[in-house]
Amino acid sequence: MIDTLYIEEAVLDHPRTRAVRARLPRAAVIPCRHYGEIFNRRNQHFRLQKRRPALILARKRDRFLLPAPAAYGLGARHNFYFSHMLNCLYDCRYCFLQGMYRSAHYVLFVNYEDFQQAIEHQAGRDEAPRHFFSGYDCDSLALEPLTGFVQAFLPLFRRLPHCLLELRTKSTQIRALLREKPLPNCVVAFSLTPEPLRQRLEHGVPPLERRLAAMERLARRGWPLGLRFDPLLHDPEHRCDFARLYEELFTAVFSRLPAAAIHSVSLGVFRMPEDYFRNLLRLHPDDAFLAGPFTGRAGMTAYREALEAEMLDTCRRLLQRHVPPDKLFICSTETEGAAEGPTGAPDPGSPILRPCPDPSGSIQPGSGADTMDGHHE
Amino acid sequence: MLHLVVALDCEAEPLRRHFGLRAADRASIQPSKLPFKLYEGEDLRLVVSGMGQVLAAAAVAWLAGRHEGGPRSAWLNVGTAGHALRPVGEGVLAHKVCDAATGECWYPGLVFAAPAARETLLTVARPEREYRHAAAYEMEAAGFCRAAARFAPWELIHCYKVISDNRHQPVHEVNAARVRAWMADNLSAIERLVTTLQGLARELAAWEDDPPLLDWMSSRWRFSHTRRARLHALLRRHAALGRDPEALRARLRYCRDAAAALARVEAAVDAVAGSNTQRRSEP
Repeated sequence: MIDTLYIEEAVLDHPRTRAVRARLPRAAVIPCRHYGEIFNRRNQHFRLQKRRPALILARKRDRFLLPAPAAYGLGARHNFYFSHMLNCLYDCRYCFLQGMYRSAHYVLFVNYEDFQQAIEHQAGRDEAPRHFFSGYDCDSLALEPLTGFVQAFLPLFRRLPHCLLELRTKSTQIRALLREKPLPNCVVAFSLTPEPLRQRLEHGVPPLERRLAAMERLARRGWPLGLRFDPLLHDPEHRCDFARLYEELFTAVFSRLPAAAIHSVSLGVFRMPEDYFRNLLRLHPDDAFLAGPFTGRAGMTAYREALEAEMLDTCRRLLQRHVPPDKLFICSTETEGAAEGPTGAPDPGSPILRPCPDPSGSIQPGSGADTMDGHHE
Repeated sequence: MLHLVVALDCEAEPLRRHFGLRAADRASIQPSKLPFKLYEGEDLRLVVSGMGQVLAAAAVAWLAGRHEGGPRSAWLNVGTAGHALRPVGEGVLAHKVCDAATGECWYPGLVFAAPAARETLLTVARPEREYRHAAAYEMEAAGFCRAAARFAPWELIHCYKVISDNRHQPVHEVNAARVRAWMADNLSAIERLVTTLQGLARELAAWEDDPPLLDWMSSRWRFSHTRRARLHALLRRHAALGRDPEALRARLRYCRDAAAALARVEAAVDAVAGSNTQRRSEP
């Protein structure tokens, strides 16, 4: 329940601000000059703030659209991501946002029209396919009743059939999508983890069963679905069960969803800049998951190499029973060319995706995957 | 620990009585040498700063310095304020504090249900008589916030003000007896706030506590700064993984030096967290 609304003076009269205020009539409204007066200011405690986050309504002033890393994407040459919102409704113990930001407050940039203009400008350059990813600094749908994000952006992408929009979510907020005619160029991508790990690590995230039901409804309506098994998680409390947990998850998912509805499946391992991980440890020194078998590699915290390779390999083999290779994408831990987040730091939420090149083998340098990143084009 | 900062004796008195606080220098037969009046109780200290934001900041800094090295504290400024429309005697909790002279603003972090109405405070140098802005006018909060933010996160810094004057009951009608009475009327809300903040400070202190065995190991072997940091991280992981510190202590007893002890702790942690690869079952 949001009971505090900070609003930049510049957007006090913005129509979207008025709409949000109408949805939160009991919230105390506190005007501010710039959202930076509250968000990410020094000397805040993310873990305490996460108990009762406020909503900050602000105007995004620049960098509406950020280029995704060179090797990023689901098949297009031109890939971008954008964040109409910062921070997430949920409290996932492994989430990089709590390492990146000092604040747990949600920031909603209400000037969607500027994001849309930037997308349209980019899309209008030529007819080449362009992919736009939302949901890296937030959950695309979790606060949909407040944000009206889907309602605002779907009409734009309806006019841009050569562009693809990915909505990334852990929520079941699909009402806005069900009201709309399905869009073949809008992928609703669900991040999924085995249910015992969700219970243990993803606080506030709806149970898998409810999300599967939501996905089924979307599939029936004709919405393309993305499945994101990213990050793969290895909790010390379930250390003997990794393969079983993921096998159960994959079976549950693929037995419920029609193959035709699945647009893409991606697989990625846990990775985070080391300083973000240190922040997480400071916030949750008592958490068994964060005390797990992590190691530092080139400025990033990740699972130890051998374990990571085993996790990826196990899941890839399990997934190959359900997913054709052209729909399966592996997210590598490479950091070179990573996109920058809004703070200027490398954004670990922008992984490098490569299509699974060989159903029986691991990714090799110079494999077909390299042609994806445009280096050879 | 909660530090209460009030400007005047008449504001302090009902709080002192209610929380059972005693003068910090009560044992001394000499006249007090403390720069501020200080009262102490269980998990609570109260300092009387005097009027104005400079004195409020000075009192915060003095109290923080005096108890440096102690557990993390919360800070609460309690006092009186004027407001154009709010009735006298009403308590308000600040959600924004602005320094009228500089325009600088602070936003205390409300991570709990407010025990009273929420309001913006405007800190001014002299008592306000016109109440032009929709805010509560007072004289200490900006200095208090500016100083307290050096010692605690914003979620542990709050200001609670009791309305003492408004357009119908101007500031010159305020006197010590009335202030004491308004404070007494607000004790229930203040107590809720005090209890909440004390709880938050305790939680934060627990998260920042040193892990088990750190003191014992540090006193037994000589660790360099770097090794101590490594030891701290390893012992934290050991505790987070739910391992028994006493079992580890027994295994460390015969280590000859810090390096050997550190290696043994590392092996103990790896045996739990790092064994996953070997123990994982295949499909």
